[in-house]
Amino acid sequence: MSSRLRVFFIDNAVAILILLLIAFALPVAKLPASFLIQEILMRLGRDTFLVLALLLPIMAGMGLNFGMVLGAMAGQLGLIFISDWGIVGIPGLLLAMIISLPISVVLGWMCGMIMNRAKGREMVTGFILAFFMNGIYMMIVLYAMGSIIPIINPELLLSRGYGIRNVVGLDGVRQAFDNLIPLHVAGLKIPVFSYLIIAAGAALLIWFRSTKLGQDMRAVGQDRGVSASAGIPVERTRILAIMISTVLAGIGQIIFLQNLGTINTTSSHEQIGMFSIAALLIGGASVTKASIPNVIIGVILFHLLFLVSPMAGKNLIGSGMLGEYFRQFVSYGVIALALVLYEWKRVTRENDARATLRGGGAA
Amino acid sequence: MTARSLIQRSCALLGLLALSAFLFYIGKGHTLLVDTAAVTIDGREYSSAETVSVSIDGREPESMGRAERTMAQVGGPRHRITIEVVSGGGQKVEQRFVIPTFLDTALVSVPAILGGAPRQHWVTKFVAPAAEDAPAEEMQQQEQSTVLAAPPAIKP
Amino acid sequence: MEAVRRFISSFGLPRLLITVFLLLLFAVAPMVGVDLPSSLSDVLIRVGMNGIMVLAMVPMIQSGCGLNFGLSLGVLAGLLGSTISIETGAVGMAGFLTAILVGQGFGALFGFGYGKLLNRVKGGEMMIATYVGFSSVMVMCIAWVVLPFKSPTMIWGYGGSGLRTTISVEGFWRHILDDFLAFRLGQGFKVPTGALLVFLLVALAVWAFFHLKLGTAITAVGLNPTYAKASGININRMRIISVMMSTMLGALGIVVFQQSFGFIQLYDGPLYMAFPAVAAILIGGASVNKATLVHVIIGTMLYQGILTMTPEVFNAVLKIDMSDVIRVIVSNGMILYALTRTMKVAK
Repeated sequence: MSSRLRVFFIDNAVAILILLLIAFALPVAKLPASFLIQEILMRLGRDTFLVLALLLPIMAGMGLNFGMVLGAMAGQLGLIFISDWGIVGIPGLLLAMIISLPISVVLGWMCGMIMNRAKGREMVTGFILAFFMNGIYMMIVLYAMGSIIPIINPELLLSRGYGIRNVVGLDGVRQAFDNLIPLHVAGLKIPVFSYLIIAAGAALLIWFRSTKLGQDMRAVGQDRGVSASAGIPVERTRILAIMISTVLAGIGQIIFLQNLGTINTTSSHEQIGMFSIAALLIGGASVTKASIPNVIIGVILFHLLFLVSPMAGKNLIGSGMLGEYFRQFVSYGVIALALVLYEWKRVTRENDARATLRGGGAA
Repeated sequence: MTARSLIQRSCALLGLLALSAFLFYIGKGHTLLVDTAAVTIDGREYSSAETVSVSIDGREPESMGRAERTMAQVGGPRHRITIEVVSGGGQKVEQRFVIPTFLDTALVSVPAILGGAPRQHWVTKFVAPAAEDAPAEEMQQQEQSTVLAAPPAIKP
Repeated sequence: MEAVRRFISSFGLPRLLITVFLLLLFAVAPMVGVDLPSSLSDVLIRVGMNGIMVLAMVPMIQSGCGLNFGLSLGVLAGLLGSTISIETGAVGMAGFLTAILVGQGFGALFGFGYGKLLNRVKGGEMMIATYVGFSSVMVMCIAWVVLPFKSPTMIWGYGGSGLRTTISVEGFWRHILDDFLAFRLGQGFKVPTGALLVFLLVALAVWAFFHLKLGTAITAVGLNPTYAKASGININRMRIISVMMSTMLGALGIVVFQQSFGFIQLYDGPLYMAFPAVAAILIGGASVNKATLVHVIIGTMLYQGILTMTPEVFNAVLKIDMSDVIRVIVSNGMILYALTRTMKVAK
């Protein structure tokens, strides 16, 4: 195999693997095409924005932003408040976004600061920070809300009088974005407005890359030392990358939840980081490089796998659970694989650099 | 932080606050209880017809009898109601009304609108009678049940 | 003042806060009607249960592989050992030892592969450890369903196949260590001597190991790889040994845990098991690249102390159960602190 082909396969190992898996599982699952297409169309509208939020930190060299969960929490808090105040429809969603904005900004700033203190291990730090903030979030939502933080609508509270209920219905804003510009084509429902928001988000990111701050971020991502000597405020730029990412995650979570129609107070946000990251990686992105096509392809492939695995498992071995476990294995495995590939390449690069430094002299 | 950027940021912040207030105003949800029960206003009694067809904001019209009540979830302050008498006479009334922002549940009296009563009696604040506490309490006790920010539209 | 500041910075502020918090809990407990002897007894039982898994962190920290977020691999090895032991029907000490030995075998195997992988990704071990751990748990989920186990105590009832989620070890080797030489002091204060003895013995063994030639070599690899290499130590080999040790200790740890807990937890049981162990050793004073026996013992006691006392005291005082949330905040906060502290030292 020629060297170029080999490099291509290694670089896109993850995406290719997933494609093969889907190609195998698709016919086994025996799911109707119309169902699959409708689901994919719906999920694209629902999840893409969240995955978009991951792009900037990768560009800034901070790897996979597991801390996006913080933004998701902010978005959820926004939705809880507008549900409490009874704001419905599009204004409700917009207001939720505005409310989540300051929360996302503060959380993102904090996340960025902490990551700056753990340079070289931003990903683990973000990962643990997400768990930590989950604890704080729980403290606020399950204990402070209704007691210290006034909640007007008593129906949102647990029977003990404080703390938000496990499940908060979003009937007032359910699918408000999805249905704003309804489009039915060949029996398929297409959430046009959600797509528009995603397109706007993507366009914003593309524009951002051309701004000075965007260029700074890219430089910082490539080489912190060189950027610093070029006068770029490295620490500040990194924090800004995380802050923007967190804000986008907050908006993305609101889009996600309006489609679902309910908030599961304790768990809606927990797996968001992992799913979005897995989707991005499946789309061909790596820890250091990610683009918008990666996002879209990733969401499509990830959800195809999501939909197809349980049925394939059931038809193949007789247990839907196996398909489910397999899907989870793939989600985790994809991230593990991407991380291994990234570190392996980095180590090889460093070893090569060291070898060339030593030259032909004493090794 | 320069003075200029301070002013810019303050303006942006004020803008956001204004936008938030605006969104709150046009997005506040209300529960409308459309009622056809006879009402007495200033000594005069207003009543509805045998069967009327009522539509809120151009939605699917609902057929209502003499003393019925339906619920509608709406958002925002301005709404219109279209009442068409089906049982005879073909009288059709379309009126617009405004709901105060902080009024959560409002009672809309069909007879009042139909009979041309003064505007302020069309939409009144709904006060739940004490007996209705029981169903609400049940809901409070079920921790796991879905809580809705606004109750679903039900037809009695 | 200066001495105080120095003490705080060397002891670590979070650590200090946690210790003070725990002492407060102990002080408040009897005042609010919490039965202190039985609580203390609980703490001791939990220390015996979890101690070895905390110990498992030491080899990899010392060799420079960082915090072993992939402890689940060791746990899975131990689970294989336990299930196979029950499948054979062995009871009592025989069953217990079977579980341990089979677990060690798998632990060595898994540890070897895991170690080889980690050697290729030096510098990024922790994140990869986490996700390799997660993926393995998922692979084993499939395995638990598919593997040909037959023992009726383990498989789903009514003619199903595949293992149940929780398997009781009642009648096999439940409390076999806890009850060994256990004694009571007064009312309600039971000391699980067996478990604590085993914990101390294993801890001493690890301590002794690290004072032998092989152990010091591993420590050298962690402290100063260049020096170690120059001294002729094979870095990769030392790292693999440390990973194998860690995994095998994890396998041992989960079996000891199970005899006290009373159940084998399969499927996603092991998914997050590494985190409490990581938090515990960090609370005890370890850092990402240095850990000693003292850290393990103190850390386990402090961590389990908090886990036990917080719900009891909070429930008695405030009638609310915030223990879960506090646990999450304390353990993850501790790990966060450790992750962000290293940079300053390295600079």
